[in-house]
Amino acid sequence: MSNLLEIKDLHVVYKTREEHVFALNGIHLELQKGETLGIVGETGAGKTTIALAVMQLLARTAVITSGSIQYDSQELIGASQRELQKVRGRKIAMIFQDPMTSLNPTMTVGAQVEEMVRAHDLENLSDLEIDKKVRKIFKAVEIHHRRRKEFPHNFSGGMKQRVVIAMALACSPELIIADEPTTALDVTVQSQVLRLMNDLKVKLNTSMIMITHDLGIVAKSCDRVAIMYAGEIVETGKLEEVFDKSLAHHPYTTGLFKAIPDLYSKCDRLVPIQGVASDPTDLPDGCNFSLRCNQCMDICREVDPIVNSYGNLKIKCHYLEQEYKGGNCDEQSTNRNKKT
Amino acid sequence: MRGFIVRRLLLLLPTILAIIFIVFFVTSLTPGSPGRIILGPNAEQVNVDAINHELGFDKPFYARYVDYVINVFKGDLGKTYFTNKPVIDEIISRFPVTFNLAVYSLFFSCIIGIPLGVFSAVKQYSIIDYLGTTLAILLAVVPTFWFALVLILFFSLELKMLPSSGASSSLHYVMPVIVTALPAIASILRMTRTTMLETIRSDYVRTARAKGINENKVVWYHAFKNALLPVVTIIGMNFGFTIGGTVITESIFSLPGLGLLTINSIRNKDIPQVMGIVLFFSLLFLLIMLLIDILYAYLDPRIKATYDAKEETAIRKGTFFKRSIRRIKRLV
Repeated sequence: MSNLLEIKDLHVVYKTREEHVFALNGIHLELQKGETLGIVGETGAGKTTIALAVMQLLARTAVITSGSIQYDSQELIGASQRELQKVRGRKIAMIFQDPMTSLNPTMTVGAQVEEMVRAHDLENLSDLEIDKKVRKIFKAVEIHHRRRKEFPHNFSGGMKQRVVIAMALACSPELIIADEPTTALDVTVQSQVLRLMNDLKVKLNTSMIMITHDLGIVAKSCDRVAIMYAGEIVETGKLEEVFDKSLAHHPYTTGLFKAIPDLYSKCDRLVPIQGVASDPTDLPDGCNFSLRCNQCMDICREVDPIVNSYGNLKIKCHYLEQEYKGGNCDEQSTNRNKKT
Repeated sequence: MRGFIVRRLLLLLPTILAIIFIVFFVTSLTPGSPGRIILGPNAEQVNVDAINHELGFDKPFYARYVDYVINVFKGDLGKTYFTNKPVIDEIISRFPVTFNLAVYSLFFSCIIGIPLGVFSAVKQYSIIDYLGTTLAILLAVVPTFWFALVLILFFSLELKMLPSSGASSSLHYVMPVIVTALPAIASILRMTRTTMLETIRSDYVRTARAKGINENKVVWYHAFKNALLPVVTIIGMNFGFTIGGTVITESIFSLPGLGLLTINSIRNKDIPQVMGIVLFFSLLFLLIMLLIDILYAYLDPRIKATYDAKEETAIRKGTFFKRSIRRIKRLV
């Protein structure tokens, strides 16, 4: 099966007069049709930058220094505005982080959804048909169609996010990028919105990139997971395998899971990852995680590790390389090496 | 919404009373009596007193003030000292010139200032942006009277293209309109640029781009519409300033408008005329501000919602008088 979205060696730098922020440092990502990929990472890891790079909506200060983003074998980097306008909304739609600010306050929500429908209206629908379609979309996100005439300020946060989802779904896109769609919402509304998104995703068979820092959301809705740290993807794999504690993981992934309380075992204190996120303006020489890693070796401080496969997991780490590919590896990992 | 407008119109009343008081108080501080002003320094004191009595100047201050207020609400602003015509007639006959000047200059400053401001913001740090902002600063610092004189020197004396004084043809308006429009262009341009820079970076504009709609539509429909509020305020205020600023422009170009009338009446100490004009200007300014507030409601549904909410509570609670009556009834 061919990939719907393929990102290769993507580097993005935010350049300002004072400093250069290395937001993305060589991202490789693949997404297949109908698949949901979760991108997890802490604040500033570059999750949103990936999303905006795919949409080609990066801020003016951002420079894509190298790499390619291919959607359905169409290169998006350097594509003309007109080509991009055809991709945005119709093929790739985005759900933004903060529903409070991502709707135009001076337009009715109905008009905002309608605009999306009209922008990608290939069949020259009549006004009545468009109206019908908008109605249907509102029904799909469980908002009464009478509320179309209202303005965003009349809606609560959860309802606004539904409108944003309605807009994203309006043209039945092949790929939806959801950038922390539930961060601004409280927990009960969060689960409603997630359920809605999952239902619609299944119904329309769309692919999805779910960006979040909440591993619970990932567990609920994703097929595959990519763990990000300081502008790099340190680990990717199937959901079950990334969440499987018996397998070997990147120290960062292990750290993330240690920081989540376990319902079934008693524990007094959670183990946080030491230190703070690496400063993207001044990244270390070797592995970006070396400053915080509890398995850090000399080589980690000097040489940037490469991505290796461990079973179905792809992990970027020196420690695992030595542990499992070098001499003293256990049986389980040798088996895995044979497989790859 | 209608309730809001009615309420605002009623609120104009106390404001006007306050304005009349200030104007009346200040002008009554000026030395000299109307009789002396009308008849000149060499007239007999008896005749002066007779005229003062006729005009009610021998009455105490508060009585004169009350008389004046009553007359104003009857639509009578008194008679000028010199031509002995009703003040209101003078104002009405002069107003079209000033109004034309203000409207034309505002029109041109909008159609130049707004697009330039928008383009400067959309293409920030480009040549257009630098030119636009430099132009804005330049226009803002150049004094009107100096620029007017330069224009006259160049277009009237050197090129002999444009007439330097009078208002008999539309050509006469060209230079005055340019002079009054320039500072307005500067302020409208800067305000448009600032607010556009803000809105164009906002999340909903990014959402609009993510929809894949035309960039022009993103800029004008999504960004500009939201940036319009402060721009409308600036335009309204500029209208007020332009009308006030005509005092200088009109006297330089000898345009027979209200500005020139103001200068002449002050020079002649024609107090009823001065009071009338000041009152007229203030009223005009108040009405423009009211108009802007109403426009706000149409531009931003959130503001309309607050207006309507206030109306709702007002209806629920009843008016002040109804409430008072209800309270009194309860006591009895």
